[in-house]
Amino acid sequence: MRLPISLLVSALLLPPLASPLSAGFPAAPAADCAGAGSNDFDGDGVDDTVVGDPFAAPGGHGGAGAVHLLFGKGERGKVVSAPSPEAGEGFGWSVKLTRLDADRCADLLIGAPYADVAGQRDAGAVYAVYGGAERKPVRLVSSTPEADAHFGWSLASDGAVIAVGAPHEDADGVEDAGAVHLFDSGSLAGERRISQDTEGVPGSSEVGDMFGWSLAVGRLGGALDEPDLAVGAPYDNDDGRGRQSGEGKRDAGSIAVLFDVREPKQEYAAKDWDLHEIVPTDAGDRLGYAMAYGQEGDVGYLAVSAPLGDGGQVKDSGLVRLFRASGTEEVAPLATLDQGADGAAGEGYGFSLAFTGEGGTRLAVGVPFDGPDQRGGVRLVPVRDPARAQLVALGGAGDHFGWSVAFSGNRLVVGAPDHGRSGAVALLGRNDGTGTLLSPGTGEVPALSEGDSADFGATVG
Amino acid sequence: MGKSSSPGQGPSPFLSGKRVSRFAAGAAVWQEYGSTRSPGGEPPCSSPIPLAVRGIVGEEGIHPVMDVNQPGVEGLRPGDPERIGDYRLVGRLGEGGMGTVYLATAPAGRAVAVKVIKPEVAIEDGFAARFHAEVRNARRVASFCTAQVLDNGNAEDGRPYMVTEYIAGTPLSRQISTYGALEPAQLHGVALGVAAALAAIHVAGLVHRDLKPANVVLSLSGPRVIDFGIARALDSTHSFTRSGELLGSPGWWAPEQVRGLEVTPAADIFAWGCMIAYAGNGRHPYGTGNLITMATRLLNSRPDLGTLPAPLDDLVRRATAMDPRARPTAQDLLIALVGGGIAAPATAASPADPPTLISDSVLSDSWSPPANVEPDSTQVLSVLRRGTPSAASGSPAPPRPDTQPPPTPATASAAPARRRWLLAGLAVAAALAVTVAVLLSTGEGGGGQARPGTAVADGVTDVGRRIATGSLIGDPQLIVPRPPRCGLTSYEGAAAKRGQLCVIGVTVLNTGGERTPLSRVPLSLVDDLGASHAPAVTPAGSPDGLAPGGRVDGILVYDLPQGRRPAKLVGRVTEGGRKIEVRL
Repeated sequence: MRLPISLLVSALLLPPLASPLSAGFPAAPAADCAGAGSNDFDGDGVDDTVVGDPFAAPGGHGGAGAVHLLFGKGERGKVVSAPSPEAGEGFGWSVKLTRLDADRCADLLIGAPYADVAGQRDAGAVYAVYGGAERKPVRLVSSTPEADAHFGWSLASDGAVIAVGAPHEDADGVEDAGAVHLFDSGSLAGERRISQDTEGVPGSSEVGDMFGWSLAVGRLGGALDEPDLAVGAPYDNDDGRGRQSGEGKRDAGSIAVLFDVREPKQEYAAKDWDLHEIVPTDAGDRLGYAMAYGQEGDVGYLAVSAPLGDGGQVKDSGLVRLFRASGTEEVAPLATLDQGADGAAGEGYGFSLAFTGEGGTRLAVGVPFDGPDQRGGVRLVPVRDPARAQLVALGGAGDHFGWSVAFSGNRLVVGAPDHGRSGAVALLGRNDGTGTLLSPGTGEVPALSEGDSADFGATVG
Repeated sequence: MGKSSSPGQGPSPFLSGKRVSRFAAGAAVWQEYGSTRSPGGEPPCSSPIPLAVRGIVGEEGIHPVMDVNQPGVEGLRPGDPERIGDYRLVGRLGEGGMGTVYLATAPAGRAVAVKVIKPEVAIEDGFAARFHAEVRNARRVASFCTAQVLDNGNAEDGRPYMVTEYIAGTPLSRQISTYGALEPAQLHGVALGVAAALAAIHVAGLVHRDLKPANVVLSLSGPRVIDFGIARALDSTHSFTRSGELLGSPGWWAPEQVRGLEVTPAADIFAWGCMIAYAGNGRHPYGTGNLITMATRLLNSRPDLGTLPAPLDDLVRRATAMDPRARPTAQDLLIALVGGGIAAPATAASPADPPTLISDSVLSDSWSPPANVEPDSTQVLSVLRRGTPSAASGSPAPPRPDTQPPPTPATASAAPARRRWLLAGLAVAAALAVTVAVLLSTGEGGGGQARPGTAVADGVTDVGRRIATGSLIGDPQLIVPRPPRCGLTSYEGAAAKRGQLCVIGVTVLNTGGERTPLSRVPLSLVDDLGASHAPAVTPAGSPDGLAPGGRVDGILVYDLPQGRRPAKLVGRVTEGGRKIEVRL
């Protein structure tokens, strides 16, 4: 399918701060962002952390969702909820600290994939909340909101472009084929919709591919200064080229990398991989379930997981495929990570992924169902020496520690959304093997002023 | 859920399919209400001061058979306050030496019992502080075969008060005096229920000190122990005891209490033994007589235990041993009563055994209330309706003052293994359906203090957790984001018929790649006594399946008898899927 030429600006400016619409957002810190770190929302020079709770009930609105901003210097965090929370929106389903505007303070993207938009139930929305100078938050929706598309399921951004996944969008008239919506970071305009039927995009829209389930933006080839986009379709069947449906290895999953995604020529230049091109595959491996991008110097790393892949020959124990690109080399497979014989079926190695580039690139791999009691864990893998991977396991029974992972500066952030009633996160310094689980209302993590937390730590960023 | 419904099939009764516009506000709620039935005219007792100091009282206090509660609820008397704290008084449940017990309504409109201390007691220096400290302790006790302590405070005139759930039913004292000895099955149920209550009290580090038939209420849901945990506040009230007024119930004292020695949980065990003998024979094991007679017999002769069915004969004999250290602990009794036999009597500090798991269902299975015990929630409600405006529909009760439970495994796969281990260790009959369990620590010895602070698993919850119907990576999952709300008289047009409505919000999410049919059989609610309840309201318009990414937020409404509380949701989420269990 052709790329739509006329694209609507779908950014909706919200009323001024005093109105109830903005009540849920923190007052923007009047900070000088000059010395801001890369994830520094308030501009104090220390990276901050954001934690999503998509099942929170702010103001008693069940499942409306909330996001907690935790500040790196340890001052009291802030709770962010949708300007007018609606029950069941899932605000905080995805979170991402990134840079949207010109100041150096980090900004915040928050997905609410079950938000109703223009009468379309569960069409989904994304909120942009600005750090640094005072600026109104913006709600971003699809120009053609579609019921049950779940726009905002996934998010990626690199400062130039925002990618928003809508994996259940009936792209090209095909149920749950999935699509990705691109926006310009600065203006939040210039929407561009990409599906598997978009010219130059590998594969074809098939029922239930869920293209856009996971996203990453980085430098993976193509023009040096232009961002490239990696898109996961974990429910894509490994069925060869051409349009198929329900054939081949079901839900093996696939990923595609689109080069120069912001300024394509006539059609996208792309690369794509089905899992079988890398390792022996099986139905239901779910390659592309989670993705992360990291950069060290001019080398870019892309990690893609198959949490039900047969890592280390252990069926369904999960694996992560590592890709590498540089200024001169297009993205190419580098290594396969797994837990070797330590893996166990269903423990979800690769359920979540995050990179940090500081002090030698390390990849955090969430294994939230690790252990017989599903306490979970995180494998910290030095990319240059994967054999020296460390296990971080702070959770208790049933905590699902590692459901989400992120880095904030050199600190590892791990979500354990099933710790206790509310869920928890751990913030771990570079060499910390120990740490405390923080729940809303403990330490400097703010509790919701009214309503219950339920899934705190489902997402971190 | 546009894509999640297909018109060709009927709606699934699993959930109300409409998008819930707003979850009802309110977090944990008071899930039960009830009362302390005051021992009629009888002050609680626990003073360890030797008998001689106490003086003589009339015989009526030591005739257990005469020790009856006034049935029903009396009206308020002139001079009674209109309200105490946030509680509107609607009637009198009884009056004793220590205070008056009122039937009252909590702000949410439900029945509670409010015990207000008499001014002459309350005036003692430091009494209020001790009282509140004791009540705070009592609030730690798992509400398990006990009347849960809900609140405490000072009335406007400064008198301290405590609030407990109101237990509808017949006091054991009145049951025996009116209908005679209990049938063996009921006797066993009382023995087990009271032992369980004592275990919960002892594991919280408390001693009841005033256990007697008037403090055991036979309710439809089982025997409940009331009025615990505050007797100790009186211990230090020396001038009060010096006044010569009798505190307590001499027929139910343990020998060490009469001697003024240290009072330990074993004293409650002694009272348990006397009470079971009394309930099984219809007469007190030390007979009747005045205080001195009773005390003399207590200290000098063996009780007449009559004829009791096994294993109660042996247990009661050992419970009434003169030496507190020779008596079994409450947990020994529990284990023996659920069929595990009893170990040699613990005489000294023995190594801690694995924690004891006793199932609610074991207790409920053992309990069939006497025929005359009827649900009197209707009575209570009619009393309440006179006294209060009807409760607003769906209005939340005040938050339940409980603490966050310790983290526990949420997975169905891990928990059974642990249970198996515990049960095997105790040789409890394998056929017992162990469901929601109460975790009791094992006592250190017959006469030793129960270890305080041991985890009580009552309140372990999967609320806020993702419950897998298969793999959490690709199969639908269920979340109960918030604790159930109970104690509602009505909810969105549905009225409570059996006592109270419990409302539970549930979200089901399909993160997998397949359209998944939802179960047509709605989840059942299992209450704290192991009874299963189907939703009171058949949800309409719920989807029959969920598309990939689909989500349904629904509300399940259950009608529970008064006094029950929700323990878990069980059933299947997906058609043909595995059975899940959500501990509430």
